[in-house]
Amino acid sequence: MHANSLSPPRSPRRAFKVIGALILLGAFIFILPYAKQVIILFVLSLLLSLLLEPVVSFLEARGIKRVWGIVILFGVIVLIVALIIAFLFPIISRELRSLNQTLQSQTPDQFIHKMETFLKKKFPFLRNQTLMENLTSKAQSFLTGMLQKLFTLFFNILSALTTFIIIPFITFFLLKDGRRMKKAFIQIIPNRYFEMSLNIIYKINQQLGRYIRGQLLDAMIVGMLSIIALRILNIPYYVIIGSIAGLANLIPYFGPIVGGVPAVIVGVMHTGTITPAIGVIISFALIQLLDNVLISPLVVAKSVDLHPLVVVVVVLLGGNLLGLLGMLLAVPIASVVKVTVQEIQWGLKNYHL
Amino acid sequence: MEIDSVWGNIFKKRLSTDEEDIITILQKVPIFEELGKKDLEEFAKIVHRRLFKAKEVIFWEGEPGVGMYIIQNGVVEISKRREDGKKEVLAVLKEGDFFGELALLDESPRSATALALEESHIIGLFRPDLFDILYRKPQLGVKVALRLAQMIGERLRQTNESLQLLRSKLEESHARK
Repeated sequence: MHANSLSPPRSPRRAFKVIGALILLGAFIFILPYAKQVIILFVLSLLLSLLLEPVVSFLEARGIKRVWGIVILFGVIVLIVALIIAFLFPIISRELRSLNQTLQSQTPDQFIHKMETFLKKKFPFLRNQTLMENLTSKAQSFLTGMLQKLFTLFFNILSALTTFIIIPFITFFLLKDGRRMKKAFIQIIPNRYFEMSLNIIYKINQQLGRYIRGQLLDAMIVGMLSIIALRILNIPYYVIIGSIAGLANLIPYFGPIVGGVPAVIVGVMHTGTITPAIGVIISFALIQLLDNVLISPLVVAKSVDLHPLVVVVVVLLGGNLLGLLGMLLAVPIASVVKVTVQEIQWGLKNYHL
Repeated sequence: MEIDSVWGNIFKKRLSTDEEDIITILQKVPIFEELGKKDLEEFAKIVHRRLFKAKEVIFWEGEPGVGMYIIQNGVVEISKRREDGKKEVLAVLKEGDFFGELALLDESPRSATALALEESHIIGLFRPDLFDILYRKPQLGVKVALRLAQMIGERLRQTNESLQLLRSKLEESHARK
């Protein structure tokens, strides 16, 4: 047995501290559902700050004071975004508008009808009317609903002007004072858990940072490849759909499928035949293969291996809780939880508490 | 008393006993002795100041080390557990002394237990923060890392000397038998 340090006398002050902490925690949990919007903004800013942190540190290492480094970085980003908007905005808005029109018109029904006739020709036993009717009505509502949801969600997230102001604001201060905030938080931790918590916090930071930067780079590469592939296949609106495919790649397992579906649908609706669908499926499958074999291992430092089943469950949960955003955030949040639990277990084993 | 070359402060300097703020204390520590005011401010930003009550353990022998500690005020006892279970005191450190600097290099388990004998303010410099400084401000980080290496080298030299002494004493007693 190790020599035990004398435990401090349990003063009422200590009881107050504990009660105070519990009340704060309770209030936090209570407010949680109402603060959903705020939390989302904060989490997004946190991810953005983790993404940009190495650049700011790089500038700081070259002698540029941190604040100015952040200002410069933001300036560059604003410039790039402005350029992109200036060039792409007319194209994208045109594509989006006509795409939305296409959706609201008869075309989904035409598409379903075409699918139906195609299937009936290939599979004669499907002549059974009732089965086809059921299938078509279900598929119809599903397709239109999903596509519309996709586009409205896209706009909801992005077009809120407040988002564009608040996120950079929070990110700026996270980048500038993040270290100070961490230190202040560490000050509160009691001595007994101090060294262990330090370890945990730093490992989580590392983990998250690496994962996010890797994932985003991976998504960008896939997005670009998808845009190129769609352009070659002459699928209309290739910029948007390619970007969606790239972003969708951030969601494991479901992502590539979700990304591929709009491309297939748009392609088929545009030409009225099945051929573009085949082209899209093949090219996307190739891109996915390339991604899994070459790009991901090189670019994404996936040092967090979650069991595939866990990933599926977590992504579905995220989707239920927060929709599309939830699916995107599910894996990073799960990996943070996993690292935290791992480190706490390790800490409990190695530290005398 | 024979100073333990690994734990004892063999680099001790004379100190004033007034209340000192973090920078002044850091200045007295050999690791930072070549740093200017601005550099010290940088480190003052990343070190953590902790208060330990009397008889509170700072770290246990065998725990993975996270960094080094500098005593701002108070007294710390460094001890090891012998094979027979008894506690052997290796050093008693005071204001301005530092310990645990080997943990700045890797996660190896602490080779002794550090116990605050009285209420002490301890300043901690931790490995992740040092690595962060090495990345963000490499010139500053390297200065400190180099100094750290020199100190550890000096400790190694003294340990070597003690070992030689011990070896010759052992041979002597063997020869006498």
